[in-house]
Amino acid sequence: MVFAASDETERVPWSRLLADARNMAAAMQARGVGPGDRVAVLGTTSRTLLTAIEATWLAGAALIVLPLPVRVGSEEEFRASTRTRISLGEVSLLIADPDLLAVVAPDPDLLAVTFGVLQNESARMGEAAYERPHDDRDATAILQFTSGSTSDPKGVVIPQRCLTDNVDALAERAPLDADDDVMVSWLPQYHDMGLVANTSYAMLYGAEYVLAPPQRFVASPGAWLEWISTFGGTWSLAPNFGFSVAARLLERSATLDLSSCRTIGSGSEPVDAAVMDAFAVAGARHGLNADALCAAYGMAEATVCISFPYRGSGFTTDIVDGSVLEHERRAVSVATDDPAARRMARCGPPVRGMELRIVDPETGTAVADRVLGEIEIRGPSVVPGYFRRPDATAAAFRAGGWLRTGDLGYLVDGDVVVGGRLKDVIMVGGRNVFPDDIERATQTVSGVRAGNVIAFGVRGGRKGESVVVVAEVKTDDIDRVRSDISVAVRETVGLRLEDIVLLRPGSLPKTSSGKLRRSICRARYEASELEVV
Amino acid sequence: MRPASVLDFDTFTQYLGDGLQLETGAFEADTRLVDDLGLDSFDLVELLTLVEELGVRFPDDVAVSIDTLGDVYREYTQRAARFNGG
Repeated sequence: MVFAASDETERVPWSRLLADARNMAAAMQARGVGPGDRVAVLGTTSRTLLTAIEATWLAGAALIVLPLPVRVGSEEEFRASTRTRISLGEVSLLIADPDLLAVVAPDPDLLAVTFGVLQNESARMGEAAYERPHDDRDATAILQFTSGSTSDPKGVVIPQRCLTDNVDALAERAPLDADDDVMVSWLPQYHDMGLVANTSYAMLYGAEYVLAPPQRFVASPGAWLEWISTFGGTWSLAPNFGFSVAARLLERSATLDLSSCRTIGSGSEPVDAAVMDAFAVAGARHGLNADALCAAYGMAEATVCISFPYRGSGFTTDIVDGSVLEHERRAVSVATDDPAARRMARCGPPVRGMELRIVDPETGTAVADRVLGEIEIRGPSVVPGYFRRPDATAAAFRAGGWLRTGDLGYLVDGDVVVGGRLKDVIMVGGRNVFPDDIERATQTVSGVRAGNVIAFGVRGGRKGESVVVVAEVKTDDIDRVRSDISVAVRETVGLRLEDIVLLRPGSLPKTSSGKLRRSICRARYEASELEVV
Repeated sequence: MRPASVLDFDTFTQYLGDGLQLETGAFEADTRLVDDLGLDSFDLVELLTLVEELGVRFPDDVAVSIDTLGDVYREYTQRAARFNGG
């Protein structure tokens, strides 16, 4: 594999990474880590991080990749959320970059080391020091903390059997040939698309893997396509916002060679058909074959991949009446030039072994084709549940072992089309943002009525979705409240709000029992029906 | 691509402000990207994309260290000037 960590790239054969990982696994074992333990890693994408990931699996332990701070400066929130994950994940060993370890300052009772210390210990391990644990396909490979808000994080338990099944299922749709495929990625390892669909897949199949830290993409978004061009990339995934900036840069950039691409897929946030078109058009000048483009659908509870188009089928859409879809939950085909036309991304058929059905979310009964309902899945890649959370696990599954995805969708000729969400999660640039976290931050602002804040996502914009906050205020100091809310949300959640709407006390939509009604609030916002102060 | 000319500060910041959909306010050299303008990490990607669209790319270390509009403009003019042989 190739680490594109800086302008200098470092090429490391998988066999070398494996040898290093065996030594590191031996060092972990010397520290008492083994099957049943959970190892958390916290660091920027590097050869050492990848070694530690592989070493954790070789030691038979479960892996938790902790998210990096959303930005320098939001240390408190980062420290709190990291400690919560460490505690809820019942971590046995934390391995971290020294500067991040200093920020987190974990409980002294926790076994915590820097990557450097563990590497030194690894270097002293002899060939024979590593002891391979007994195979256990039910042992947890990954504990993925992407579901649930900061206040209520849920760790998705991904057993080894789910990981290998899902990677094999992905390989059937979007093959990686160890001899001539080259995967290119800048996705973070704490994100399931980066860790499972990229790292695990490339590692298990031994394909060439060009890996850059996400901050390199942030610093120069155009670099993503240059890596594809330079290294002859054939396989790459990104969230919609990555395609959006790449399309614009491709329009103007010096000529690249993207003719090597066989699979270039958009996933982990709603796929915007206009963005995919723009990317295809701009890419054509650089030799991009439009059939390589595709949209996929997945989530951590399915290990990662739920549906993926067959290679070479290209990006396709279903054109429906957007208004009917939204208000009547039916996908009615219309002509492309119909004023109500909305182009929905087709995310391909469910992957091998994945059963998928669309049901009425209230009753759980199957609905007809082209009726929007909740997507439910069942199969060998679907995880057993959430770590130490029988309540959340029970709520996620329906009788018969069907997992409720919380996503709305419909089927067209066997392809999955995702058309909305039942759950309140907001998807910003591939990141799941929970309204609770934004609402909690907003309530810390003086002048905001506690318990009277609603946050929701609105469609559109380059981030995919943008966040709007609606709050009741008990002060006339509107400008100060507005500015404080914006700072509080940025400091704790790391996002700029699209809009802040302040209302008079008593005007926020609630149920008769006083529960906040987010969807009604959003509908009124979009119709400009809120009575603003 | 080559920039036709190096933009002046006001034109440059107006261009960034439009691209980032910021409320037009007083853009000064010491206006801080995060603390004053409230930019998040997606906005920073957008900002660097907008700069790349002018034909200028910042090295990684510059991209992570820029703090104010003045920083962005200074780095932009240094590199844009080089493109133009200036």
